[in-house]
Order: sequence, then structure tokens, then C-alpha cells
Amino acid sequence: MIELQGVTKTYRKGRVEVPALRGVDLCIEEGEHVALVGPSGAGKSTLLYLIGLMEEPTSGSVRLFGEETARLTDAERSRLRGRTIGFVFQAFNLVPQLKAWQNVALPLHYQRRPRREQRERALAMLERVGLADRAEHYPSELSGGEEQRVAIARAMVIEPRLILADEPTGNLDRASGRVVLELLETAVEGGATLVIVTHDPEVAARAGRVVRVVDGRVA
Amino acid sequence: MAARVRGLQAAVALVSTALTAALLLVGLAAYQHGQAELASLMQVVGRDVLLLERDWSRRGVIVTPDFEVDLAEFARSLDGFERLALLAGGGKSPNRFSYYSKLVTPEYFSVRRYPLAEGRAFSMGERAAVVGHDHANLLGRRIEVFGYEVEVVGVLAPLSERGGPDLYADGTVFVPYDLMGLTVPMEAYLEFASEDALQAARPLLERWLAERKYPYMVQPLANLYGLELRRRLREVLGGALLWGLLAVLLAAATNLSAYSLARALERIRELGIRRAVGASAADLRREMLAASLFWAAAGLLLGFGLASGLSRWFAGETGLDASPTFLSVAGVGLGLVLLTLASAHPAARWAAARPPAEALRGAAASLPRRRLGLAFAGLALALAAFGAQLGISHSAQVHARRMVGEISNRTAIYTSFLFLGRHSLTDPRGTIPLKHADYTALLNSPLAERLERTAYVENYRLHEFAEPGSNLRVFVRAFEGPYLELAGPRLLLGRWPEPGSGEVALGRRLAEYLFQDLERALGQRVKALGRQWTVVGVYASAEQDAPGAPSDDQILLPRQELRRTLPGARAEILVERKPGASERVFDEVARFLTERHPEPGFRPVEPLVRDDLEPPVRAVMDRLAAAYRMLALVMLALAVAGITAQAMVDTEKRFRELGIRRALGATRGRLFYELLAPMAAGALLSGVAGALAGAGAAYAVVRAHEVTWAFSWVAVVAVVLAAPLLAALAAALPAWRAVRRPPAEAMRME
Ligand SMILES: Nc1ncnc2c1ncn2[C@@H]1O[C@H](COP(=O)(O)OP(=O)(O)OP(=O)(O)O)[C@@H](O)[C@H]1O
Ligand SMILES: [Mg+2]
Repeated sequence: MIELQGVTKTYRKGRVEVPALRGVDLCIEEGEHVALVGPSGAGKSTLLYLIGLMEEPTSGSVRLFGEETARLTDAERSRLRGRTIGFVFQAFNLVPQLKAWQNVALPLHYQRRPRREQRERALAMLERVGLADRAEHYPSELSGGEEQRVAIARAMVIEPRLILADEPTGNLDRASGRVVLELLETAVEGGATLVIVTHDPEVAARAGRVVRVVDGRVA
Repeated sequence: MAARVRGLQAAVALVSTALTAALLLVGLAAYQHGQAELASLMQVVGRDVLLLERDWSRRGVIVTPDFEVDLAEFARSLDGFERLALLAGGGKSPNRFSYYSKLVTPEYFSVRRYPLAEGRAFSMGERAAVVGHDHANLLGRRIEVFGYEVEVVGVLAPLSERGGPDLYADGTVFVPYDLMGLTVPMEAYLEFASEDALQAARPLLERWLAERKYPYMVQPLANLYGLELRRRLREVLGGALLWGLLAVLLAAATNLSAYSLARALERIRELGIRRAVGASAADLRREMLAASLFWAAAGLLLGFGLASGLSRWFAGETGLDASPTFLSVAGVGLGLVLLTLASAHPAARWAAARPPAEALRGAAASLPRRRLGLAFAGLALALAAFGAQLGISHSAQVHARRMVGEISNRTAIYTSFLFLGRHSLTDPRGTIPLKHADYTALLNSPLAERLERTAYVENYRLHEFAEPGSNLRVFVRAFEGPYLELAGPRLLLGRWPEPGSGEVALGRRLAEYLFQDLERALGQRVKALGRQWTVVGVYASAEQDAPGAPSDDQILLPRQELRRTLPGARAEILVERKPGASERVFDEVARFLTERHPEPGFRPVEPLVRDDLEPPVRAVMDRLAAAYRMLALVMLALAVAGITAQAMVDTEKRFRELGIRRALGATRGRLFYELLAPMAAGALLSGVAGALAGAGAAYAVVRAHEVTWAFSWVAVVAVVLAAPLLAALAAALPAWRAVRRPPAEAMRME
């Protein structure tokens, strides 16, 4: 369901070219739990962003759910992303001026769901991550672990087919990290695909498959 | 902390939008009212009245009283003709007690639009008089005019405010046209139903006069009110006003786009998050535009409130009404919405088009520089607009002054002529005959210390000139002191006469009349005052006649040539006060001259100041000049608001960075300097760019309007220097607040 063929990504800044990915072939099946590991700067985040349609490859093809994504318009890519992919980041990336529940409801807002439904589903999701009582709080009023749980709720509120997590436990202590990981794994049990970037061998060990990225290539 | 920045940004956005709205509103309203003011320039009496004036260059032609009957008959045959009024006699004997009087037919008052304030008009044949407003106390009394006793039966409303030919109406005594028996008209007025009828009748009337050899010249009465001059003034002043308004708009637009970009940049990471959860670029664009519209609406509301206060202040400062009109409110409302959309759109487009991954990685880090660049572009534009406005309005004013023929209001004239100042007609006493001795006494008095320059001129009327039998009415002006600079004739050809060599300069019209060609006049010999003179120069007068200034049909020569005052001289003394001296010195000189002539029967000498000549025009000019200054201020205010807002947002955003720098050992002073130095440097550049662009724009506009180019380099330098100063001032407060925060607080910020 995720098929990358000969994918390269080169960042260009003036005359300097930074090859982040140098030809990646990768196949991930529906329902798989994959860990991306590798040294810093190897291109793991770049790979994740490409899969999540957050960026376009310099060359090669990215097929998602059987569809060639290069042919899609921005609006189509955005819709696909908004309805099927949930993102979790190391730096949480919550919108600071929105309350916890509003952050969770944000994907539904862009799906043009009625406001009532947005709120109900967001609150239900917060309940599942154990933050029902913090719904009205702003991100700056939450701890890092709580913020990440809000971010996970935001990723899962759309019942995604694919969850992309970029070092979701990187900023957390072991206990909070475990909670976050367990939440992600429940999603996999529900049938979603999970791709998780991590430096933590323990986290990688829990994945069904480990993919090593070294120097812009899949080893 | 984040909430604080957001609140600050919201406040900055709201206040700046409100300020923009208010300033635009006041600007537009001022423009509208300025237009009305300019239109009032054109509202002169007599646009439907043709004036026939005796042509004194053909004084040999005899006119009989039949002319009047003939004219009335011909007038009735003209389409749209309504009424005829006649005027004859007129004047006042210079050195003895008399009222300034005119013989007029009863229709005269209505044709000239002279309303009665009290009493009634007279009818023909009556021994009665109607007096100007200054003589209101004569109502009901019997006075002597032209040797006849008449009863004052009516008083006119005050008219001198209208200026032009009505300047002296308040001091005039009007008596029936036939008071002294048969007479010939000096002026005849033909009133028509419309201006069009007048235009159609004018050539017919001219042909009729030429056929019958009647020595009269025809022109619309409105010309005497300076209609042509007013038309050009209106163009010049109105043009400057329009360009000023455009400049305000331009400055507002750049500021708004700087804000929009600032907001978009601020939110770039947040926009990335929104993209990650499924927002398309179009969604974000729509959201951003909607938000900016919201701010526009809120700012507009606040701005309307602000504008009402501002317009009161504006009206107080300039005398020009700037209260919002329906059009200005609607125009600014719609305009601001469009302006907001137009200025927010590029930023929204740019921000929404960033690849979401890039936005999330915080790739916008290098962009604040660019944003500051935009703020400086805004400043440069505002300064350019400011400079252009200064240049245009300054040129417009200089041009307008030149058209009105002003030498300078630092100059006053004292005259033995019946040149009539504001109140001189009211006084039936005679005029003091000033002498050369008065001039030398003035030069030796302590008063001279407060005068910059002083000049003296003697006028001689020549009944015969050049050839015997010529009917030309020519004055010789024999001057002493810097008369040429003070009275301001322009040299067209040759040079000014040197004393001691029998040289003269001729007025352009006179030179043309005598020698057909100006070039041919140079080197010619002319006879005047009993001797031969050599023509060495031809001059042109200022565009409007004024006391003290030579007109085009006169002769100028240095008084040393005459050695002494000849019989029949009428003298004028011109003085210019020192820049620091108060205007009171003019009155003191007047008192000084008056006291030298203690003989009874003379009215005191009065200073004639050039400003008195066209009061309504001057009033309009002054009000508009004040409005220009306000517009320029408005633009500076916008620029400063823009820079302040950008500086505030910028330093708030850099708290974290400042904390890091402090942690690494930077002192507060050093950081403060680091924050301000680029501001000042960037602003200096924008200042130079703005001043150059402004001067260029002003020059282009001024040329396009065919206005005299007058640009003060002081203004340019001021603009260049003002820019860094303003920017530094604008950035100083937020920068100081930023560096005073404890570094730990800054580090904890997300
Ligand atoms: N916008 C950009 N411009 C230039 N180079 C970039 C850009 N974004 C990423 N890179 C470069 O691409 C390479 C891969 O970056 P990437 O973030 O994918 O690494 P990573 O494997 O996620 O590393 P880490 O484990 O440290 O997060 C790096 O060398 C990085 O410097
Ligand atoms: Mg990474």
C-alpha cells in the first residue's frame, strides 16, 4: 500500500545541493508496524515527509493506497493527507493559540465537519488518551507528555489508515514514552499502518519490521 | 508569553488598520472639502456679465451721450440679454477732502450683485446716494458729492471680502448716473441670462463696437475677479491635493502589505501544522484573507471613531473642514477592504505555497530579514510620498504666489497715489504727498535698523511721448535703491539701465507699441521729461498689477538721472522688513511718515501689504497649504506606525534569540545597539531612496502640471535624516523592553 521506487530528494540552497535521499525503494504493507532507524541526518524525516505527501520527491515515484501521488493536485493531496494520514512529531507541533480539543478537532475542521461533530469526536479522542479533563487547556499549559498525547489524539481522530510518527518519544521520559507508544500500538491493532522513526532500540524492537536508513539509502 | 506576543500583534494590527482608516478618512474628507474650497474659487460674481470699459489708449476719440442709447438698442437685439447698467465719473481728488464716488444707474447694484444692507436704492434723477458699508454712519445724512448735495438713502452690505473689483466698494459713495446731467459711460455692464449667451454675444458686440468706432474694450466681468488666474490656481492646488491623497494611499498600502507578510511569516510554522492535518493551500489562503478582512472591519470601526476626533483637530489646524462625508466613509470602507485584500493576498499566497515540510522544519528563519526589508520599503515609500508631497505642494504654493503676483508679505508700500488699501476709501480726506525727503529721513531714522531693504520711486505721467500727437498714457518710474528687487519686474531683453549714462528700460507693451518688435527696441533713442534716453532693456511686469510694481507700459530709469524731483511727481516708498522683525514695523513706518506731514486735511499714510490684494484667493491658498502640511504629517505618521509595529513584532519574535545571546555574555547595551543599528542603517538607505524617489516624482508631477519647479533641498536632507531617526525612535522602546527581560525568561519561551 506504500510503494516507493527510486525516490531521491535533493535540497538546494543557492549553489549548495544537499542530497537527503539518494534512491530509495521501499514497500510497506497495510497494517504493518515499521520502524525507521539510522544515524542522524540519514534522511529518515525526509522519507517520512515524502510518504506523508508533505513534500515532493526530486525524482522517483511515491504510490499511496495504490495511487500515483505525483499526479494529484494540491487540493487532492491535502484531502488524502487530511482523511487518511495521521502525523505525530518529536516537537509535538500543536497550534499554540488553540485549546487542546480544538487542536484535536483541527483535521475535522478541514474536512468541513459540523462543529458539533468536531467537538464531540475531539473530546472522545481526548478521553481515549486520558486527557478528558484537559480539553480546555492551551498547549502551553500542558506537560510535554500531555502535549504529545494531544498530538496523538489529533492524529487518530480521523481514524487514519496510516500513522507517521517522527521520534514521538524523543522528548519524553521513559514512562511517558511508553504511554505514547502504547497509544500508537492500539491504532495498529485497529488495522492502521504505523511508520515510526526512532533512535531508541527499545522502541524499534517493538516494531514488526525495522528499516535502516543510512546516508539517504535503505540498507 | 506566546499569548502576549499574539495580543501585541493583534493590537498592532488593529491600531494600525484603525490609524490607516482614520487617516484615509480624514485625507479623503479633506480632499473633498478641499475640492469644494477650490470650486468656491470659481464662484465669482459676474460670469454672465459683459463689461465694456473705456479704452484709454484711444483717448482722442470723442464719445457722445448718444452712445448710451445706441448701446441699449443693440443690446436688446442680442440673444439672452437681460439688463444694462452704466457707470461714469468716479474717483476722488488726491490731496483734498472728498468721498470716493461713482455715478451709476440703479441697475448697477443688481448687475454687480451688490445687496443693500439698509435703506433703499435710488432712482434716476434723484438727489440721493447709496454708500458702501464703511460709510454706514452716513445713512440719512446729507453729503456733498461732485459739488451736489445728496441724501444718503441706502447702505450696501460689506463687499470687500469678495476681493477683485469689489475690494473698494465698501468705501465708495454711489450717486445717480444723471446727477451731473449728461455724461458718457466709463463702464457699461450687459447682463445675460447665462454664460453661454454671454459667450455668443461677445464677438457680436466687439464687431459692433469696431464698426461704429466706439473706443471700448469688452471682457467678461468675471475676469476682473481673476477668473483665469483662479482657474489655473485651482488646477495647480487641486493637482497637489490629489497627488497628496494618492501618496497617502500608497503609504497605507505598503504598510498593510508589510503587516500581512509579517503575520504570514509569524504563522509559517502553524501553517505547516495545518497543512499536515489536511488543509490545502487554498484553505489557508481563504482563512488568511478572511482573517485580514476581519481586521479590516474591526480597524475600520475603530478608525471611524478615531477619524471624528482627528478631523476636529485637522479642522482646527488648517481651517479646512474634514468631517467625514457619506462618500468618504463609503469610499474608505470599500477602499480599505480592497486594499486589505490586495495587500494580504501576495503574503497569503506565498505562505500557503510553502511546502508543508519546509514550514514545519521552520525554514522561515531567514525570512524576518526580508520582512524588515519590506518594512523599510514601506518607510522608503512613505518618505518618498512625503517628499513628493512636500515638493509638489511647495511648488504649487510658489507657483500660486507667482500667479497672484506676490512679492513677499515682508514688503509694504507707502504711496501718494490713490492706491487704496483696505480702509483708505472710507476716509474722505486727501492723500499725503510723499517726498524724497521722507525717504531719506526714513533711512536715517532708527526704524531703518528693522528694515532689510528700502526703495523709493517717483512716478511721472507723460501726456506726450515719443511722437507728437500720440495718445499713449505712459508713466516714467524713476527709482532709487533696490527697487527692481523689491518690485520684481522681470528682465526680458538687454540689461537694466545704469545711472549716469541716460539709459532706460521699457515695459514690454510699450516697447511693442513703439518699435513693433522687442529686439528692435534695444539701442533706440526715446524722448521723455525733456531729454533723450537710450533703451537698454525690456522688462515684463508681475502677472498682476499691484501698487509699487511697474506695469508693461511704463519706463524705468534710475532717479540719479533726474538729479532732483520734477514737478508732478508722485512718490512711493517700498520697505522690506528684516526676517525677524514683526509686522508692526510697517505701522511704525506709516506713523513716522504721517508725522512728517502735520498739515491738516490728510488721512494718515497706510502700509499696503501685498497680501491684501486677493483675500479670498489667499485664504484658499493658506487653507490648502495647511492641508498639504497635514497630509504630509499623516504620511509620516503612517510610516512611523509601520516601522514601530514591525520593530515591536520583530523584537518580540527575537526574545529567544536575545536570551541566547545574553546567555553567551552579551551586555544589554551591546544588544540594544545590535537591535537598533540595522534599523538605523536600513532606514538611512530607505531615507536616501525615498528622498530621491520623492523628488523625482514631485518633479515629474510638477512638470506634468506645468508648474514652476521649486524644491527645497532642506526638505530633502530633512527627509533623509528623519528616516533613520524615526526608525531608531520607533524601534527603541520595544528593543529596550526586550533587552531588559531576564535572559532565563527569554530562554523558557517556546
Ligand atoms: N530544507 C532543507 N534544506 C537543506 N537541507 C536540508 C533541508 N532539510 C533537510 N536537509 C538535509 O537533509 C538531510 C536529511 O535530513 P533529515 O531531517 O531527513 O535527517 P534525519 O534522518 O531525520 O536526521 P535526525 O535523526 O537528526 O532527525 C540532512 O543532511 C539535512 O541537513
Ligand atoms: Mg529527523
